[in-house]
Amino acid sequence: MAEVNGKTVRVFGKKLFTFSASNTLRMVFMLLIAGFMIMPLIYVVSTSLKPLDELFLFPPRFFTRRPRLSNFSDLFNALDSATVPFTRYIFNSLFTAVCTVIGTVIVCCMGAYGLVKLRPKGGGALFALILAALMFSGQVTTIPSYLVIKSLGLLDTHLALIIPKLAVAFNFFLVKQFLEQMPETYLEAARLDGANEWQIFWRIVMPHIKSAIATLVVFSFTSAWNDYLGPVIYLTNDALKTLPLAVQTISGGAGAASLSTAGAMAAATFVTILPTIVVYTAMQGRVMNTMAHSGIKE
Amino acid sequence: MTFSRRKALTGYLFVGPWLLIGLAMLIYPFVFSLALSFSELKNMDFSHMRFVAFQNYKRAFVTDIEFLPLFWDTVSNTLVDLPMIMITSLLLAIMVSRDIKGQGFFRSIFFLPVLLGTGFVMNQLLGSGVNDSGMEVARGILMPQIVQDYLGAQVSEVIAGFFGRITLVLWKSGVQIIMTLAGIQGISVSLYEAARVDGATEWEMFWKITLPMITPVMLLTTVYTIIASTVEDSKVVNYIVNTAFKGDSVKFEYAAAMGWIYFLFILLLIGIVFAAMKPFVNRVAEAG
Repeated sequence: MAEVNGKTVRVFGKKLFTFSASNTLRMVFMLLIAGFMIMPLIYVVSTSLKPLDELFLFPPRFFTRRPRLSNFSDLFNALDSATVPFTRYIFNSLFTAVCTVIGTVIVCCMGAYGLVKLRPKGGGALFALILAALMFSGQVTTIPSYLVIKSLGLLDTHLALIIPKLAVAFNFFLVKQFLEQMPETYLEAARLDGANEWQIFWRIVMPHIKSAIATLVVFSFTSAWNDYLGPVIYLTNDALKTLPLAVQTISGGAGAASLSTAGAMAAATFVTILPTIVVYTAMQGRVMNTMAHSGIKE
Repeated sequence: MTFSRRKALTGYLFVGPWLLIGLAMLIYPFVFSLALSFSELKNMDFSHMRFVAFQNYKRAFVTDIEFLPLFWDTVSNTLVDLPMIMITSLLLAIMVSRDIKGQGFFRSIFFLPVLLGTGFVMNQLLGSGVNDSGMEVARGILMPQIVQDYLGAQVSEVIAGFFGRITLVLWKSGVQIIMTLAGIQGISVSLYEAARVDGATEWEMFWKITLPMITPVMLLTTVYTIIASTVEDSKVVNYIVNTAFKGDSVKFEYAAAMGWIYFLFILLLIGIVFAAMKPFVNRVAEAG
């Protein structure tokens, strides 16, 4: 949309900003909203760096005046007096999240490829089923899922956290939408050259849908990493539990808001949100591409 | 074996893993919980289930004093948030869609809550513990103490609640903003050019082009919003899960019944939304 009466600011010949009343107003408004949205994040970071006295200050201070890392050392050292060290929880979370991501990418991409490009009989019915699955909540079926996991003998294993998150309807839907826009000619050319479907899938389809995969990675990593219900239900062994449970133990354990855990809690919150941000930043460009072309608009 | 038959067979092999896990983790639990909701468990290993018709459902509506209030709380919250989320995401998507510097930056910021807001961190920020003050800080910055004193406790409470709500709505709009943005950017530029040649103003173009063209996306985001705010992390769901797994007596079958009541209601809600929005959804936009 062209600006009519704007005065353009150029830096090294690159258009930086076009001054006009509406443009400036919009920019200010957007920055305000952006600031508003990023505030909780800044607060988490700043709180994790606060020394003890500032943590309990009222009214609370948004930015810490004397940042220090003592909360983090509290988290990693003091909590070692518990039976399970905090690092173990981090490992558990990372392990299950990474396995979930790899698993769901392979399973969903394979399934979507089979359904969209190879068109087996009954594919339509399967897709209807997946659409229905999008609507019903996993929580409604918590109990039977528990029974399935139990009868498979997976209680108290990390597999119990991974397997239910592999065949996620949303992930499948996303890849399917993306694959439908992939030209058939690529596949035909490969078939003529004598490639079998397995080779086509790995060498042509997977590279082609990289952006969809990036989105999948972000979504499934976030959902696995933040999963709270799963570990509560499936795990009883403390050594297997994941970060959200550990953080809950710190915050809700005996002496909830005690002096000793407040700092560790603030640090733990920061540690918990860090990986999702890292993963997202790594995948960001591609994710935005997918969201923009996910077939919402044909 | 013919080529097409082999192709179909390979298709089954590719879909196989998903289907297998999906059957075990999605379909079977769904059917089983339906059966469970009409039964009474005789023992804990699920070997003896007695059919009791609607007894569990009756209990949810008649006996249980907690379920219905929580249920309405979640539903009314969703209904209040829904229009706000829709308007917010539309507004912000339009703003970002214009050629504004730092479009990528703004998009990332708006997407941030999607990463963090998945229940857990959100609860940490708004719920208990040290970070309880997070919201307080947000309010304090927007409304200095002196203004609060001037306005009086009641008025400033209302305003603070308002800002708290806005923060929540903004935090819940991440995916919707991106989806709406995709919709807006999918509109053909030639439509705007033609309108401009005919002397249409920006305001007219919004009502005559942008809004009609993104109605299909609006329908999608509405449904998404309903699902996201009811299914993912609501008080009712927590209550149901607690009924099933915590407390002195475990009540699987009752929890299953409540789960189904909730699910059917969400389905009904989505159905109503579909029926209500369908007449407004632009056919041309849908087809093109």
